[in-house]
Amino acid sequence: MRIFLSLLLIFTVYVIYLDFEVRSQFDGKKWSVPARVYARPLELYVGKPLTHEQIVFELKSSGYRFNQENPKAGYYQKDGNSYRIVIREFDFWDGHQPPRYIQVKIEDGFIADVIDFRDKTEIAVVRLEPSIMGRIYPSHREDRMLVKFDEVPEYLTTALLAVEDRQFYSHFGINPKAILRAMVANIKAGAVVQGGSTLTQQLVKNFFLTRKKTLVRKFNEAIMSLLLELHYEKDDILEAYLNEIYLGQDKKRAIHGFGLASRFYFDKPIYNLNLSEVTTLIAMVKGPSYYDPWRHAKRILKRRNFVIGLMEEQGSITNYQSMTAKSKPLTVVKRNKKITSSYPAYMDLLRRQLQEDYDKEDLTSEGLQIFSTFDPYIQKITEQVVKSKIKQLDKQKNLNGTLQAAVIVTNTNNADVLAIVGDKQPTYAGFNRALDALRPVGSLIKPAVYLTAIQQQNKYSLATLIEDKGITLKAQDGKLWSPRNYSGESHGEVPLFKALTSSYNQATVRLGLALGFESIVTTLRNLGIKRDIPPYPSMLLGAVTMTPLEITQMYQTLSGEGFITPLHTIRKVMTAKGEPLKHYPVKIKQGVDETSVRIINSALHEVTRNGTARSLQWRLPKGLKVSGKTGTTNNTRDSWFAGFSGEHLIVAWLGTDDNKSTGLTGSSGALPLWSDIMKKIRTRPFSFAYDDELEYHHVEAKGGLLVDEDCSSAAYLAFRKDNVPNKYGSCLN
Amino acid sequence: MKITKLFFIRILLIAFAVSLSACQAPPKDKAPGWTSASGEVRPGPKTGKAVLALLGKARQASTKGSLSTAESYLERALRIEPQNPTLWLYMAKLRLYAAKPKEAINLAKKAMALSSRGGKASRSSQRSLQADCWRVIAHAHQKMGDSLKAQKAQAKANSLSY
Repeated sequence: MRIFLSLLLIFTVYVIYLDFEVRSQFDGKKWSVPARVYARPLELYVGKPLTHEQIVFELKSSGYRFNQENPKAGYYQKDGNSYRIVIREFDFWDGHQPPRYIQVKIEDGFIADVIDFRDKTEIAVVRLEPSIMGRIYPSHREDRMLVKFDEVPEYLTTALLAVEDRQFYSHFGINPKAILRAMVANIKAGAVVQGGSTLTQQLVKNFFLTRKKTLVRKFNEAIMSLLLELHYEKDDILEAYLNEIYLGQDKKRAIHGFGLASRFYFDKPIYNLNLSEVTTLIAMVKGPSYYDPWRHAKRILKRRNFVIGLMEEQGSITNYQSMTAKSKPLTVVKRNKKITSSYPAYMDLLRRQLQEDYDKEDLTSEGLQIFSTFDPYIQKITEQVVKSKIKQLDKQKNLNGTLQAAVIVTNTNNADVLAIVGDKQPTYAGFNRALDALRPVGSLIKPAVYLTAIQQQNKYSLATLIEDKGITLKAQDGKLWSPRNYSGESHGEVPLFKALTSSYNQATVRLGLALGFESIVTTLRNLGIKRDIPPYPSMLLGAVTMTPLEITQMYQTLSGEGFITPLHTIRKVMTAKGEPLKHYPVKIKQGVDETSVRIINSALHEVTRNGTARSLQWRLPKGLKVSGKTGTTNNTRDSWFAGFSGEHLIVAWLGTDDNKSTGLTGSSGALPLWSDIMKKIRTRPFSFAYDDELEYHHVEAKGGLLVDEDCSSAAYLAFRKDNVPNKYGSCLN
Repeated sequence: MKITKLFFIRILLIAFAVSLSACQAPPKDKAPGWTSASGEVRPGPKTGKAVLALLGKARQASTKGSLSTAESYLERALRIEPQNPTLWLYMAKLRLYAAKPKEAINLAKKAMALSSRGGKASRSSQRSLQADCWRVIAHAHQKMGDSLKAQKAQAKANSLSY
């Protein structure tokens, strides 16, 4: 008796424990829904640069399909230069956008017209809903889109119950009759052909328990099913089942729940599925890989028609409905190979930036919607260029496949990060060189040295003569250091701008010594570099190591004319339900006065006309003005180019992971790669900034003297009004 | 048809700007005149239709008091016309209302840097925009409790507006 009592006590405590488990799990977080990351939405308005190729690419990556007949949401048509698009409704952070019926006309690479094609009214601006560019998964990589019970077509639940659990609405969690029936059937067949589990039991199994088949587990499953039924309504349990069930695999991603399955297999919201589509999904419940519609079409068709037959048998549908549904072919969409994130380098930065504000747990389970600054079109171009250019350069220099690359593309105006490549195989999620490769930056640091000079208003202008002559100093290790120029020659007295545009090392070191290391470190800090930089002489020639991302931040401030804007990947975060959660506002701070930066930028433009990057004159289309700087490190270990148009900043690095000499300078390696990207993306040219303190003059490169504007070899440079060269010289040829 | 519609939108926005002359007042102890979050909107002559439409929406949102929605519209406008100083000034004003005076100052400085960028073209509108920027800076300093800087900024604003 005592033993019985104590067993009973243990049992009771155990049931209470299970009860607690069941309730806390079911009430609390039921499913983990990974965060979805959206690319930037494409804005459509008159005057926007947009080619036919790009609009088709954008439509396809947002999952639009071509349909010349009847326009419905998610489809587009093409008629000459015009596209008719029915934009799906979408919840943006600034409100709901209903379905839009638009017609976009493209002429000469620009949008000429945007109208509503139903009532022919003009549309000032409209967005395509953004494509999903990535997801942030928990380690088990379950993905789902939650559905509510009342969103699900009635067919679906009827079909599900017809196949899996006919007595669902009348049993109390387990169904002894069904268990007996299954046992009999299994004994007869000599194998497991039928299961007696109710939906509740199946749910409990998936929800709370491991996959091991043990008696204890069976026991727990039964108790927990009873408890679940005790506490919750049938509809709630069914809803949980609809969201939990495993329905397929997309590479590493597990497709859970009917909501996502509906999108995955049919690209439709669940409430738009017809009877034959619904029954296709129900057919899969038994074994999503055995009944994979892409691999086993016949098999699943047979099973689908069996499900339809069952429904007819039970009187849920008429004979006519059954015949019609059975006669339909499988309507699954073509398998989209790019559904999983193929942008590891970008996602890497985004994840790091998100982790400043969110727990890993929230990111992988709360179904957050993250609106990023990612530009799929620019990313595509960048990836294509990196792949082909690296292959070509690697071969040319006999590097046996070791040449690597990192590229970052941003918007100069707001520091949106648009595209990142961190490996010559851009979809390979390994070492992300764009963020983590610490490399000597070489001459990329020089603009900071010259900017420091220009900031000393009356002392230096771009025409000030400085000396390019051999020099020996004591380095930090006590050894003597005699920097040499790349060509091996010294050039004597040269104007400041010439030393920068031709990247003379000796002149730079002499200038740096005169300015003081500390003031140059301060300038770097004011350009947005946070890393500690030891103020040693070799710093002046870029012995300091930085990542491509840090260099991008530095040049971002230059292209932003002295305003520091932190590089960012996130615009907004919304909850799963579409409530705005966090806004990432534009943040700017003036680091350096704009006039000084404008002066330096005019010299950086000269780099691309007559300096180390002069090949851009023929590499880029006429009229596409840019500014930038080459960088090469000792023994051509690193090849850099950082430069910007009036809209885009691109930083490119090439080198090998084991620091081998590549034989590539900034001009012969990174620069051609950079220019291939720059010429393929649509961008506004760099433009000279005129302001009240500035004047522009044509200057020759020997003595920094004024020359006529028709002197083709002259540099066109910015000067402070009170510090303009006052002597005229002759045009050099 | 196109032109008239556009014209009316501009007139409306300009009328709106004129109607809100409250921020012309010099800052006093309690931020004066900043009752409406919409501030002045003086879209320049080159402002495109898409940006005008977004500005209209931003204004609607800010009069309803939803500053972050207003800012979202403004950010979209800025992605279309990133060098339009009016948009940066508007952004600065929104930050001022959102009690972020430091950020307001930075944005106003950016607006000023951009307004000068075009050189001598449309001198008077440039001056009035810069005067507005200095007013925002004056208010921001006032909010941060630095009345000396506020007065200096206000003096600059006054010297720019005739």
